Amino acid sequence: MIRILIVEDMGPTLLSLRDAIFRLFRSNQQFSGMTPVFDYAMTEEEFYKWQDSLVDNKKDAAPDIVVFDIILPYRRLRESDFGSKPRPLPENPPPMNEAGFRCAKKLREHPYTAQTPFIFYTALPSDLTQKGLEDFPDAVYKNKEENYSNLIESIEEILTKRLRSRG
Amino acid sequence: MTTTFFRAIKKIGSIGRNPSKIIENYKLLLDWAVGYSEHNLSLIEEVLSISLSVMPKTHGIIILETDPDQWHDNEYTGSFLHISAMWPKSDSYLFPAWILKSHTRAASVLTDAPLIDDASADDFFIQQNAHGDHPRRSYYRHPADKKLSIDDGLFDMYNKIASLNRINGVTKIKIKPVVTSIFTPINLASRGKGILCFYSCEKREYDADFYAKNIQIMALLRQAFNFTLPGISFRLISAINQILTDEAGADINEENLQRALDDIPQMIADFLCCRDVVIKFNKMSDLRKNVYSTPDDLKADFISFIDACLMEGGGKLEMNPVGTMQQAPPLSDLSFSRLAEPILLNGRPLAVIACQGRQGAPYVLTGWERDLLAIIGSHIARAWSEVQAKRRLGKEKDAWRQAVSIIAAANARGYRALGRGNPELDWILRQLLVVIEGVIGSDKGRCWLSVRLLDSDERFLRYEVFLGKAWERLPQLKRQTYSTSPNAAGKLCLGAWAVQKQQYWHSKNVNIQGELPDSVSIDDAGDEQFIVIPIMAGSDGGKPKCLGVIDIHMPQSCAVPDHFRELATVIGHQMGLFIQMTTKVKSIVDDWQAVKIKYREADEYRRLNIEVMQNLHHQVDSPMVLAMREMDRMLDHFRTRISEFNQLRAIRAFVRRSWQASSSADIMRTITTGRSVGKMFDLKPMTATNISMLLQDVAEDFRHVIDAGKRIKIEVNDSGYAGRDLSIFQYNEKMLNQVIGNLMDNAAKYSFEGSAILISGGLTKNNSFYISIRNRGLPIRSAEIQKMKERGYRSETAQYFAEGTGIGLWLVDQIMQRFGGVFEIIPANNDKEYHTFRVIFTAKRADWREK
Repeated sequence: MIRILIVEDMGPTLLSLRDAIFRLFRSNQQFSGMTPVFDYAMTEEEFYKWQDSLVDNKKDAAPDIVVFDIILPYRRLRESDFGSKPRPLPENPPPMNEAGFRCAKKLREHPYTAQTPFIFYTALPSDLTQKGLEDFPDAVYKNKEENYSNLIESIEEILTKRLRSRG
Repeated sequence: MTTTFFRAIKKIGSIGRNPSKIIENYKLLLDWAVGYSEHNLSLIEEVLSISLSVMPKTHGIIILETDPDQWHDNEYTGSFLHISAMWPKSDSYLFPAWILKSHTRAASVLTDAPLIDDASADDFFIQQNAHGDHPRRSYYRHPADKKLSIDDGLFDMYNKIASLNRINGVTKIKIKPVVTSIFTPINLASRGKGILCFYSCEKREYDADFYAKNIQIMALLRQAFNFTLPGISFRLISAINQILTDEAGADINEENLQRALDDIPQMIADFLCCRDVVIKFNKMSDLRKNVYSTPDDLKADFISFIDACLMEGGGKLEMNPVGTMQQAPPLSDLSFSRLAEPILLNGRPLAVIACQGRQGAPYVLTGWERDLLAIIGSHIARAWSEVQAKRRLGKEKDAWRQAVSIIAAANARGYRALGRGNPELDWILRQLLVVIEGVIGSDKGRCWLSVRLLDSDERFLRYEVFLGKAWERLPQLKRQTYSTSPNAAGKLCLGAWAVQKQQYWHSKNVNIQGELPDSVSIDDAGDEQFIVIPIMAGSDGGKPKCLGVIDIHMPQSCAVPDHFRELATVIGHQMGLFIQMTTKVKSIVDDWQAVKIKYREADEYRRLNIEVMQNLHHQVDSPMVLAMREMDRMLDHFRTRISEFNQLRAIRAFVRRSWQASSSADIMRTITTGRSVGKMFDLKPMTATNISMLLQDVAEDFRHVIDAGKRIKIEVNDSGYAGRDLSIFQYNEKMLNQVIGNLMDNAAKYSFEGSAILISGGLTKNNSFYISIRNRGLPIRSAEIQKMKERGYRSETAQYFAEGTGIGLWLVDQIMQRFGGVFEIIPANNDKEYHTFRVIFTAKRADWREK
């Protein structure tokens, strides 16, 4: 079983990425017989909640690969979070265009995901992401302007290595 | 005794008793007296002793002291008060010293002894006869009218002595009548006039030459006394001067004066044999020295006497009536001889030296002693004057030093303030007022000081800075203004006068009204001192300009030093410079602030541009990416059977959103650069159909653009305007598309998941046309409404939920302003209600385009 975490705030992008990975699994022989399992986080907060769920009895929920969008809202705008008892927010709003980097850092800090490979998939040009990428020299960066197949190839490559390492 | 003195005595003694030699050698005595004039009354007795030593053994000298007030036209009508005598060293003629040595009781008894008529003449004669050496003489006979000539007085005294002898039962005293006597008046130190009596009891004939020689001796002796008297006075004055001056003897300073004033009363008391000597200064002198040894129950009386003398300027002389001193009265009943002499400075009493005689004596303070006190007083006055001058000089130096220091500090602070943009003018002006207060030297807070400055239009003087406790009581006065123009009566306030005349003005306890030049008068000043100092500063043309005035009200008792005017003028100029500098600094600071604001705006503009470009890039890029994805899905159409129409519609929406984002950048550039909007705002009349189609089109776009995961519904309602003639309203389709698109974008970002966005339009009560976008979502505080229309503003809460640059609503507002319309934000009262974002178009106006 291959677990894939997609951190993306745009629903259509998330769905199309999911479809593309499905197609990859259907078309590539080495993934035959395997079913990709997807986890989704559409905000920074949802990623933290997902990470908090990685406790000992759910160790298997750790992903084999993570695809990060960089620009993410902190929270979805839901009516239930307001009203008479609003859900508290962090003291200062975290910069939205660095959210993906913060999530990646948390990923590295968690014992179950410290070695998990990940890809930054964003529309931000590379010069604006340069500073954040310096903290992750081994991360893969893919721009949304590029051909879609480039991202899928990177995912395929990473998962192939992952499978080999499992033996 | 000095060596000179011993040498003189030895020389006189070695001459023998030849009168001619005595005359010559008395000159040596005089020489000695010049060198030795110690403050010691026993000197007189020494002189007498020396004189006797060179005289025949049977000769003697008596000094009779008289009451100065009992002399009338060279006739003495009173009793002798004091006797000193030297008798030859012969047992036969030795008087008991205790009787004749200025003993108060003896003198008193002498004074009050019964006259010869009341005494027993037999007793007197018997005693004389018992001695048996001399014939009877009738010297004792008292004139019937009881007016004693000098001679008579002398013999009267002898008779009294005889009576005394009888009264006291002393029988050993042997008295021989004087056969030869020479009298000469003398001045006695501390005792006034006296009589020097040279006598001989020898029954011997003297020739005329002898008398002549002895007369010369007496003359020299008198000269010796007369010289000795001022001599010893000189010693006292010299001693006082020595204390007054410093150790080097060259200078008088405050410390020496204080020490001298501690010591001088005791020196005077010793010299004049007084009980108490007091030097009391008036209040303005700053010196209050009192030395009392009087018992408490008598002190008050003495103090009142001194105070009275001080008030009257001194010179009060009180004497005891001698006749009341027969017996020692009870202490409390005594009235003492008192003398007070003023210390004058420039004709005004600076202080008084008051003396009180010793208890129980018929002691009389004389006019000579007054003269002595006057001399001492003149020295004290001179010393005080010098000290005051030094103090004034010191104060002046201190004042200048302080002024320079403050001005330097103010300068330094001012220049530092220049860098900070805060010149602290109030602090500087206040410090300079503190200097002025220090120069006046009044007690802190007694003076009222203030700075009044002219308004920019120079019509009013207003208070700026205050100093003095008195101001605390008059807060309302601080707000008072003073016109620089004459009032209805043609009068100016003094401040306005000083501004116009640019002159220093100082009134001293006068009614200022009517005192001013040019018949101007002031509105306040009262009876106190009032000083007005113009604050001057140079202008660009070089002609000094008055910026305001420094006011000083002070109690009448405050002394204003001579250097005050000059210093105050300098301070006034310095204030002017600071005020001028402050104005320039403020101008520079304002310019600098403006530059900083511009810079900040430019920086913000640059930052926003970057963000906007980044955001626009993202806004353009994301739809394009989605469009690409949709196209990818189209490729899968045949497999997934998704409606081709919907896919194309979605692609169109994404592309339009990209195109709209790109258009935003263009409009923003046009607006921020201030360029003419020109064709961008070409207008055409509205129709209900066109508006309805535009809104439906935008809504349809957003149904595809908004993330399906948010489940937001979009509803369009055109019932409010359908079928209406909207042609009186004009619009630009591209701009309206931009406006509605931006409002929809905002609503889509900040609406709750699963909520609805309602698009509608209609006419207002004023027949204006509006389009509203309503949504439920992120709460809006009323304080944010105006800020939301500012460029780059994003509420803190919004930054948690969606990305953005704060451009959209600003752009809506800017576009609507150029349409001549209005953009309104009406927040929901709670999270169940809808926020309303409304754009309102008023009827067509010709100048819209120009806006």
